[in-house]
Amino acid sequence: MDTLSILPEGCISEILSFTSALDASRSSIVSKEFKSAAENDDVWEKFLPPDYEEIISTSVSPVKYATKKDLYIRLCGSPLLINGGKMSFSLDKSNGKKCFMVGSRELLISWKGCWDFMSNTKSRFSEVAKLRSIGWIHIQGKIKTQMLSKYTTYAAYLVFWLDRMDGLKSSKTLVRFLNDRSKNNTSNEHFETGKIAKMRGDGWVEIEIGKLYNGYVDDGAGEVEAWLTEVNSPHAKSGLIVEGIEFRPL
Amino acid sequence: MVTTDEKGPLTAKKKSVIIRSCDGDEFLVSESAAVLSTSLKKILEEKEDRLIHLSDIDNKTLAMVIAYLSTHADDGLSDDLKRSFDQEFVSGKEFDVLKYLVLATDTLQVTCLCYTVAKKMADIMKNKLVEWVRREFDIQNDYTPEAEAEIRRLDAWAWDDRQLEDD
Repeated sequence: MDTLSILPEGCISEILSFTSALDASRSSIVSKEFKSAAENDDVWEKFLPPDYEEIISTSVSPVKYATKKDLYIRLCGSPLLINGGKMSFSLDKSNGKKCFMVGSRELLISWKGCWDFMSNTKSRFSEVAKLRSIGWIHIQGKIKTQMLSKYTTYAAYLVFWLDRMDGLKSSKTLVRFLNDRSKNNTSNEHFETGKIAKMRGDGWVEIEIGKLYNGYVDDGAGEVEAWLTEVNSPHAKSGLIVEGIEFRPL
Repeated sequence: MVTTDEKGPLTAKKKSVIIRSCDGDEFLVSESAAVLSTSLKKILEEKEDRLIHLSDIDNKTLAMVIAYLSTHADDGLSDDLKRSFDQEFVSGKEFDVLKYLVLATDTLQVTCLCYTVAKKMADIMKNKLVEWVRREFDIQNDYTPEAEAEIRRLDAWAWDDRQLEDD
């Protein structure tokens, strides 16, 4: 039985490198030749973000991988702590785009004295912030737009835990670009979001702060800022624990 | 078709290459077009006998590749026109036609066209069922059912709930 494709393996790799990580992985069961073509490092190099080496070089613990496919799966599966553990990095498995969470220690939190920083077994970070007393909150996080995937729409989420899912329903949220002349008119402000927190797969809940489109970045000085303010219903926030603000591709 | 690249029994004049397809048709390719192919360029530089026989490529596929080379060798055409030619070149072509085109561009090492065709094929095969890929690439499954199940298990992360297509 002739099992070989008319195409040489290199050609199949070339084609697969223009598909997606999911398509390439699934094609491993087409035939043995396809599997070999689909596991080529050159194919996976195209699925990884262009600056992946630079990012994983700032990882808190060394990242070991046998093949680039292994690395891709590793980065989709569990977030990597980077930049001295202040931030986490992962990939969206369907498109390989970059996802970051800024940990609570790096957030700008008003009335810091009302918060305790403590470890939490559910958290990827060494510490989370817990609201000690009842009161109004203002939480703000930012990230360099250069770090985000280009030409991509992101949403920013507050990742937290609160016994009441509607506890932050009456918050005001804002997402805006800072220090970037090409984008400084873009902001996305919502009042009284009315949003109910959603469960995440990792034991935390999240509420969307807003969306942003990251176009081409040239000067490296641009940042995007996301904040959430809640001035009403102080009792509804009792026991609020903040893990961080996540910037995730849509 | 471009006038310098006519079919028929030919002898290679100075600085041109003759390509013979698997069905025996011969094509004369001018130097300016041939240098866009890494393997034809090498033949121009190194060989006395500038005839190349492509045993896997038929005359239709070869004619398309040569039309591409001639267009890109034409200094009278702007880059914009060449880009729109490239887009037109792959649009609406059957997967089977693209398959032989990618093989021809790989053999002749026409890198730019190889990328364009590979990308078009990739766009078509995204989210397709494995059965579709086997059929369109004309490949028999050479796994045992157990081996296939094992590979699927190892790559379980890639098999989510999405609906895959068969046409």
